[in-house]
Parts: sequence; structure tokens; C-alpha cells
Amino acid sequence: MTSAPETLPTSDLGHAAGAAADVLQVSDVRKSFRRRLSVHPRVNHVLRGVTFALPPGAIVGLVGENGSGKSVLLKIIVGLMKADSGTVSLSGRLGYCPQVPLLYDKLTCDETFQLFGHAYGLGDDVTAARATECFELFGFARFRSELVENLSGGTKQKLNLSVALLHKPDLLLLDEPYSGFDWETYLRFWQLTDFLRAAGTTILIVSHFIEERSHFDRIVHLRDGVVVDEAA
Amino acid sequence: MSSPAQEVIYASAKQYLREPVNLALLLIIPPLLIVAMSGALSTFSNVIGGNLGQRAGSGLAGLWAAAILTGVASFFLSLASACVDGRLILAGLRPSAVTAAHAAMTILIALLTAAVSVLILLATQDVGRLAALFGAIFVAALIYGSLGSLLSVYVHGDLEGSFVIILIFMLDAFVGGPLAAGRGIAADLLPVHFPSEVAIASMIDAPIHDSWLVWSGLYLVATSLLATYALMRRRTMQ
Repeated sequence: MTSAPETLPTSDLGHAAGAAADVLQVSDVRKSFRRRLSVHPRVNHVLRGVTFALPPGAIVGLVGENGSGKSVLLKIIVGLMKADSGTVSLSGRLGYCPQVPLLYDKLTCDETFQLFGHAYGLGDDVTAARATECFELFGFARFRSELVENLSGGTKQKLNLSVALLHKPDLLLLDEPYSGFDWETYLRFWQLTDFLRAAGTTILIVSHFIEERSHFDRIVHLRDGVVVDEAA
Repeated sequence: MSSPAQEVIYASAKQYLREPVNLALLLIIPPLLIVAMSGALSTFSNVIGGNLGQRAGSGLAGLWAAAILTGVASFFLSLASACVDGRLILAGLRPSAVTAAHAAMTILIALLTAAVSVLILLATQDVGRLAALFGAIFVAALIYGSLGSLLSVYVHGDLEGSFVIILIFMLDAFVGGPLAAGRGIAADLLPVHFPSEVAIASMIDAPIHDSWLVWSGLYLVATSLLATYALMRRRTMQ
């Protein structure tokens, strides 16, 4: 087993600590899906009134079994799906790392950073500097000129996460972020989250199950479309 | 520093040009249709009720090659980038910038496929009116490119989308096209009926009716608007 590095190779991926107001507020969010064309039309109530809030600088786990509504809730939070009712309030910059790396497969890692740097409104110099930080942090600088389609699953996931970090978000939403990571990268990932938390970044990690509860400030448990408990 | 829309165009162009199959199709399909099949098209046309000569058949084959290649490329590019586009929009890109980039990419591919078709026609046949021929083939390619983009929003499988494009093409070729001397509203409504008439007339230096140009333009505008609207509304992510 390889031990984790003592220090992070970068010191500037977090943002300045923000105000004490919640970074994310989810209030009574409800979502149902209707099967209109089925022989037996029925309504599937996926979210039945989800409420929780995330303060600055917290690492929160969102846990639930398959079908518990995690993915639907995440889509509603990032704005890819509309809730039937309820509100989602976000403050600050949002970073989103989807479970499946959503990247152009014919671009190199450098080109991917450049593209997303433009999308985030970063200048070329800033993008290049932060890309270098990410390469060093996750240890995949030697792949910077490699096409995404040629990367291993774990390296793709490193790039996927790096893209979400590129603009120093205030709220980072991570959907099963460490799938495919080797042990060293897994340890680096938790070092990074601790570092980001200290810098005031709020992190919501969505997962089927959470093994190491000590890493989390809170765990939001979603069952049958409602929050059933919030363990510290 | 380039604009975000330009960056998406560069990314899409790299997606297209770095896929060897796209370049292989560009080198295989137009010569295959224009050179190898134009004689057979003429014979087949007589069998199914048309009266297409060999030169006219070559022009029609060139138009089909550009239209099919652009339609398929546009469908696959747009489908493959749907989720990444959603992520780029979440990152801050305006949907209009992403849509404009897709439109620009479709125009570039249509220009490329039309140029290849016309070059092969010039090398193998006497062309009556070059500019009109290029215009007709370019418009047909743009119409199929728009249809490809439109399909990518509503048909989410590679295979299914390819089948739909081929189905539209077959209807175009065997019902609406000059191959079978298609006439009537059903024929007129098919995507490249009028550009096909213009292309054939350009090949053999026959008169080009104004109504063909107007309907070609209207069809292009309609399919472009539909594709633009659909792409603007799309915010798909897995």
C-alpha cells in the first residue's frame, strides 16, 4: 500500500472562506413521474418533500439505495431538471462532477481544460495555471497531451474531477467521485476535500454507501424520496 | 483569446476530423455513388418510371452523397456531444453559443462534403452550371445536416438514428426524387426534392425554375429553425 503524500502539491485550489449563510438550501422539493403511455398508467413519486441545507465549508454525504431519488435530486440541484414544487437556492459558484466523465473523447486533457476554462469565463493564463495545479495534484501530468478516449478509467475520473475544480467553486457536487481511483489517488482525494473544506468550499458527495464516515461532517440519508435521518 | 462559441467549434471540428471513419467515408461514399453507381441509377430510373440520363444521375448521386454524409455526421456529432454540451452550459456557456457552434460545424461539414462531391463530378463529367450545382448540393447537405441535428435531440440511439436518416433518404430517393420522377404533394414535401431538381438541371444545363429555388430555401430555413429550436431546448446529461 502506498502512503498518501504529506502535503498537497498545490495550495490554491480552494477559495476564500465565504459568509456564514447556507451555500445550498433545498426546501420541500417534490418530483413525480407519470407513465402516461403505459397500459397501467401510474405516478411514481420519486421525491416527496426533501429539505436540507449545506453551510459553507462542510463535507456532506448524500446516501441512498438505488431508486431512492439521489440522481433526480442532484439533477434538480444543478438545474438539469425542474422540481414539481419546492425550491433550491444556490449561492456562489457551482462545480459539478458527474459520475460518468462527460468529456469530448477526441480532445486532449489540455484542450479539455482550455474548453472548460472558456466556459467558466477564465482567461487562458489562469486556465493553464489551474490545469497545471490539477495535473500535479492528481498526478496525471504525463497524460496532458493524450486524447481523453485513450485514458484509463481512473485517469478520466481525475480529469472529470479536475474540470469541476477548475474555477474554484463555492459548492462542489460530486456524484460517486472516487470510482476508479487507485489507493493513492483515493487518499489524495480526501486530503483535497479536507483542504477545500478548510478554505470554505462546501462539498456534497453522492454515493450508494459511505464507508468512512469520519470524513463527513454530516450524512443526509435519502429513502423513498425523503430525508430519513441526518447523522453527524 | 477566442470566444466560447469558437472554442466549441474547434472542439467539434477536432471530434470530427480525429475520427478516421469520417474521413474514410468522405473518401469512399462520393466516388462510390458518383462514379460507380451513376450508370446503374440511370437504368434503375427507367425501371421505376423516371427518365434520368447518366449525367443527371451523376449529379443526383453527388447530391445524395453530400446530404447523407452531412446528415449522419451531424447526427453523430450532436448526439455524442449532448451530455458534454449540458455540462458546458452548466459551467457557464450560453445555450445559444453551443447551438451556434453546432450550426457552424454543420455548415463546415456541408461545405466539405459538397466540395468533395462537386470536385468528383468535375473530374468525371461535364458540368453545365457549376455554381448552381454547388449551391444545390450544399443546400441539400445543409438540409440533411439540420435533420441530423434535429434527430439527435429526439432519437438517443446510434442505430435508431442511423435507420431514421436512411429511411428519410430512401423516401427522398425513391418517392420524392427525380429518380422516380416523383410528383405531387408527397414528393414535394420530402427534404431534397427541389434541390435535386436544381442539381440535375445544373448538370445538364436545363432551365432552373424559380419556384425550385424558393422551395429549396424555404425547406432549408424550416429545417434549420426546427433544429436550432430543438438544440436550444436540449440540456441533457446522464
